[in-house]
Amino acid sequence: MNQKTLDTLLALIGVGSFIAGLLEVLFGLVGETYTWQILTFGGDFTVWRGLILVSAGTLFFFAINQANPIQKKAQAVLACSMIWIIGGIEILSTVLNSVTGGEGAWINTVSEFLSHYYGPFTPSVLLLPISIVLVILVRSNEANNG
Amino acid sequence: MNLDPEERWRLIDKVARETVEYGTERSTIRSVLAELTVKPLTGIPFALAVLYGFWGFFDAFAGFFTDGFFVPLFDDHWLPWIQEAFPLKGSWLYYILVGDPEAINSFEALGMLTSGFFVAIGVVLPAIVAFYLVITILEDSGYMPRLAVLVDTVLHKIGLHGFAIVPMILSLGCNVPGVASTRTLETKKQRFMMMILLSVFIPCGAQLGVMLSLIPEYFGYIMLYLVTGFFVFGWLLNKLIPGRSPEIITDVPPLRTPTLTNVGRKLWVKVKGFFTNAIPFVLLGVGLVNLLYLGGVISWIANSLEPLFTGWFGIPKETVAPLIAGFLRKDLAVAQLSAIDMSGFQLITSVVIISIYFPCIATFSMIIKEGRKSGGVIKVLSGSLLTLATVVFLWGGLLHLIGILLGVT
Repeated sequence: MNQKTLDTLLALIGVGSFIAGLLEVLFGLVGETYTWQILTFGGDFTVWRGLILVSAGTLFFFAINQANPIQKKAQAVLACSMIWIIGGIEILSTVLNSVTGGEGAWINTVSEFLSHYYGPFTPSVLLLPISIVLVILVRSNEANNG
Repeated sequence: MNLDPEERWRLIDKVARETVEYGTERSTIRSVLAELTVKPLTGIPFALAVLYGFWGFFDAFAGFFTDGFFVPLFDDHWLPWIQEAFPLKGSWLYYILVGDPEAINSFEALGMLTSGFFVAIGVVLPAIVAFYLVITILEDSGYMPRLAVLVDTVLHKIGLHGFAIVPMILSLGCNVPGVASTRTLETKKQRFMMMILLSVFIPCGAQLGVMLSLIPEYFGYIMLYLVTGFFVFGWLLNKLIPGRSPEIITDVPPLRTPTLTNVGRKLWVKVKGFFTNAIPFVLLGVGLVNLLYLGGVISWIANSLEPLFTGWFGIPKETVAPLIAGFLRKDLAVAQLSAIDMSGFQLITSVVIISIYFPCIATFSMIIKEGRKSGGVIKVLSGSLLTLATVVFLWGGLLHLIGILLGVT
């Protein structure tokens, strides 16, 4: 992966994280939940999540401007790991909530279980796959460079 | 072996030649990541994410077990069965062990075998497991010392240093190991300050778990008030207590991937400790409070302290019973508060008072034990009691005043 491709990827995910984070902070402060297609802003600790996403976005921008390739990759990995933490917690909550049943049932029915996975999802969950791809690319690039 | 200086240096050179490898250090992503996590500009946002992960995991994991499995298990199966199966209905023994025979959930039954078991196993155990799991991973990954470096500047403002974060984080699990770990601090002044601040302003994991389960909507406000109190009284104690607060130099280890075996082993030791040390206290606490109720002691204390509770703190006099239970287990006390009819702000005030009024008996015993090494038992004990009384009176009263000014009492 050359420098330009990496910078383009960093810019894309950086803009996505930064804008999504700002919107989360905004919706969190006004206490509203907004849903568009499979994307939702709102829920518990929205401001906290938003601040982390804004920070991750800023870190991606720092990484673009970083001349040292190791520093650049490390900053990108750090920002990705911040997205993983919040996205991972969202997924864990969804999985655990989908297992337990309602009144009088220990385990959910199959249809109820699956309904938890139709979305909508918070931005961090949607950014998660992109950040995973980015880290895989960075790591393989690092391995190739010895 | 007597060596002259020249021979000694030759020996040092020989040892160095055989043991030290020379070369240029090559930066890797991992080594740069290790640096980034201690630099404020990148380290603080990452710490914010780690703390989010901490609470998110705690909430999801503990909620899954408590609400998903233990609530139905205790409320729909255990409670109705024991209410029917236990003999001597109407006797004092039934009241102490089973509690209210008409209760429809384990929280309100208030018996040793109903509320006692439910709080210990159903509420606190999942919270403790979640908490210790995350703490162990943070310790084994080498992230804890990084957090210490990040908070060093802030803690210096109150006469402590970055490694004071270790007792603080440990106390979020249980105040007892937190107080024990204050012995790693440099001076008697720092140890005394930390013991007091921990036991007053840092709620234990069990208490946090109960707060998150029962009153999640007020959790942020309560923690904000307690953290503010920690720094305000920390600053005051630093000014008032004579002694030194020296600088330290610390070694930050590299970041490592925690191993499953080590995490599992540490987690098992900690959870085992909870079973042997904490569960008997929870059951005894419920039993003692029931005995005090039966003997009329609770109503007598509640009536005596009513002016202070309703007038100064602005909370109902019924909160006296949970306060007494709180001396044995604060998590149980918080759980009992949720059954008392009061406004949201009164609930916040009550939980803050439960946290700050006195450490639990286990922590108090540990303060006495550690006090011997930090200036003598009498000195530490009298200092602790004086500080505790001042803190609860001022900080509790101030919260009531804030409520009055905001018009939310």
